[in-house]
Amino acid sequence: MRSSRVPTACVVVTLTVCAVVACGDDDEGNQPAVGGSAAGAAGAAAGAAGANSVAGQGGRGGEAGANSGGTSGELEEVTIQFKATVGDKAFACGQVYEGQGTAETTVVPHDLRFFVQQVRLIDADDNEVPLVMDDRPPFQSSEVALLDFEDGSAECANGNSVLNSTIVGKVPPGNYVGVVFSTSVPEELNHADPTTLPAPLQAGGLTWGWLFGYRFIVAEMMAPAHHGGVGGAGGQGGEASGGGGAGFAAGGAVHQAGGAGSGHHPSSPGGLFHLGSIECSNSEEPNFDAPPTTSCAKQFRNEIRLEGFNPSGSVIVADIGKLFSGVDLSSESTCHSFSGAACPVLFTAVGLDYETGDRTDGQTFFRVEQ
Amino acid sequence: MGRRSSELSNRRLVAGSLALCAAGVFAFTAACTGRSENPDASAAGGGAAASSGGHREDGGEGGHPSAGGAAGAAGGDAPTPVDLYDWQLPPGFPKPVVPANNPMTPEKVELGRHIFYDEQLSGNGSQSCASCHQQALAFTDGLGRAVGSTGELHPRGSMSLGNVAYTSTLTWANPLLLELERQALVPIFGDSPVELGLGEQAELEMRLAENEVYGELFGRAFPEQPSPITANNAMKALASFQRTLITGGSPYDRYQYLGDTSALSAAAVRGAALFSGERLECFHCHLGFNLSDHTNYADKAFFDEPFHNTGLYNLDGAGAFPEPNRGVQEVTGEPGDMGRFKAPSLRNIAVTAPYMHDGSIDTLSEVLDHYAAGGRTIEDGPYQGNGSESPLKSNLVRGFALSDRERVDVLAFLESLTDEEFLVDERFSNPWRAP
Repeated sequence: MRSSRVPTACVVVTLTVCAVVACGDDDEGNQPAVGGSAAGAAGAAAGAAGANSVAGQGGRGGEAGANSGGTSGELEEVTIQFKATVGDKAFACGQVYEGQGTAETTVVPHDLRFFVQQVRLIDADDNEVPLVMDDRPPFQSSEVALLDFEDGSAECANGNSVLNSTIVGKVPPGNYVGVVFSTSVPEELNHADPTTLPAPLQAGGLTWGWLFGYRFIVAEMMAPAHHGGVGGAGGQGGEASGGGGAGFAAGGAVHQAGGAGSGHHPSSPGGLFHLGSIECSNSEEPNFDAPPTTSCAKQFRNEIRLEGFNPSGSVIVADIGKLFSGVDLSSESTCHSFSGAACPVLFTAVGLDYETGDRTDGQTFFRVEQ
Repeated sequence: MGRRSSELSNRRLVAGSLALCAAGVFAFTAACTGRSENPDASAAGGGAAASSGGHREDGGEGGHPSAGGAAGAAGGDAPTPVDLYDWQLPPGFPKPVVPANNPMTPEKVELGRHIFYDEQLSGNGSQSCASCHQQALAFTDGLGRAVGSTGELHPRGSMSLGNVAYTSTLTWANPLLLELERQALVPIFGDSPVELGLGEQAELEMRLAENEVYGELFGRAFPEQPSPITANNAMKALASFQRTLITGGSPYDRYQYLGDTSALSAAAVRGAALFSGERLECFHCHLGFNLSDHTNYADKAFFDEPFHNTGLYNLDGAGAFPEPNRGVQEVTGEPGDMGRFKAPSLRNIAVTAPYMHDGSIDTLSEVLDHYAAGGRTIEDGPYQGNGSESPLKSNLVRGFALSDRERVDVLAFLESLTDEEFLVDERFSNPWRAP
């Protein structure tokens, strides 16, 4: 299986990067001075390597080393713990979840991954204290982290076996009572050539090639009978249901193109949500020797603010059941950000106004558990 | 008359090419000194660029030359300067645009040719780029809509890669896709729809590394790099190969550019005149050496990337096209971009049926019906509507009368645009296949 090879590579990647990490951290001029940050970062990276080898389950394994490296600084390492659920049940590929969406549909997960950046902890005085993120490839760089809850199994075959449910970083010691973050990719990285970017921003994965960016959130839960089309190693030809072709049929002169069936997600009942910046354009005459000057009218970068979060005891829950609770999963309820009938409801659930792109209060995707 | 006016524009093109050659040395110098603005580095931002080199499993030495390390990349990929590449351009063809960070070399072209034809670079090993871009069909697939490696039906048809080096933007309707190096990531990694269906960059690099043939090919193409098997280099090689897919040897070219008056039938000559006349208006969008207004080349004064709504659909009386095929509007979100698509080159058009972005017209004769009607009317079904009444339709699609004889003439002209040699040229064929 192709996916099984990925984590092996990740371990190697992590080790090679340690030396680079130190330099990167030192160059971060916008953060408080960090005594011994190089050693601390190296320790954290080593810890991450340990986590990788068990597919992200042991995210705290490297903490001892990291802390010992960072003792001379003013910052202490914290791990922001996430978990994914479908309502009250743990999210896992291959599981079946009943009663989802407005029509109480039975669905199976196809994907759940999202990027997180600009993490800040809120102290007792309501100050936002930035989390200095370690380079922890392949899951996080100093600027953005990938939370990955699909393991490539069952209907999640488009993904890979690697999992990640933590963000590791440093903050001054203190009493923290909340957390703020954005489920997005920094704009200055979003449109660059992914083959040149550090993990987790690499080609493939959550890239959104034709829209020149990344999908910030990919969340998919589909009806079990219509989970075909991804084929995987078996190459089974995507369940030639003819749905795609039939959907395209029209009277008169229109040619019914293609006899092959379509595994294309939009033809399947269930929920699909791909969040990303849209309405992009090359605003000036293109320069072929530079990256595209893409600017997007709708950035769709939210801000999630959760109270009652303390890194030492709290968990941030990403509830995909809640995310899709307002849409009818017995029909095709998709949102590709640039189109899709389910967009207004799903955007509200992640704290965005679909029409304006403005940030809104009242997101429901995330909550805190102690 | 059509011929004469075309000849004139041809001379202009040649003159422009000569001027370009004179400026070539300067252009290359500028490219080299401009390395500090290496797109990889500036795009990635400070810390990201600094660390990107070290993230590759094969880039243990930190400063991976290809992975955005600006200093490492400087000149490293350029054993042969761009202007020394032997394009073997047909008469009348200007030089293509080549990104400064990926100058053409025969070694990269050969590597790219292997990648283009390698089925191991699809998720389930069933397809290569060439599965949907078949040489015998001018690098199309004969389908109305492409079918990916997992059987998923693409919303759109595979475009011909003939003269892809000259198209201003790539694919049917995406103003953002300017470089083949970036575009190739879409079919390789895209999952909506799945085309080749590779999941991750690391997987591509592993599959390349597993085939010992690539060790040598990458080494020759990127000789200054200690560990050249990277996705970034693979995209550069793929782009280089595709830029060599130049087609300009049709009977029309022999007649037009080489003065071979026997190359075209009388019908085709009459058809050319109709094509270039103000009644049919075809030439407004299908003009110039590449028979497309969506054409770019080195030293072109202006960058043009027109897109047109031809009245193919009008679902709601307001010009709506069916999802998920709404043209440029899907990218820009601008309501006025609904249904705007690129006018592709008409070269080899007789072998690239069916037609339009969604393959919804089977034959060239029916394409003429669509334009003669000033837009297509669909009588019933979900796509019912009168395209000729679309408020978003190009004002050049006005409809025209066409006699039966004239129809035969225009079709004869379109058929004269087939470059038979291009369809069998060994340089573009599958290198993995025993000769």
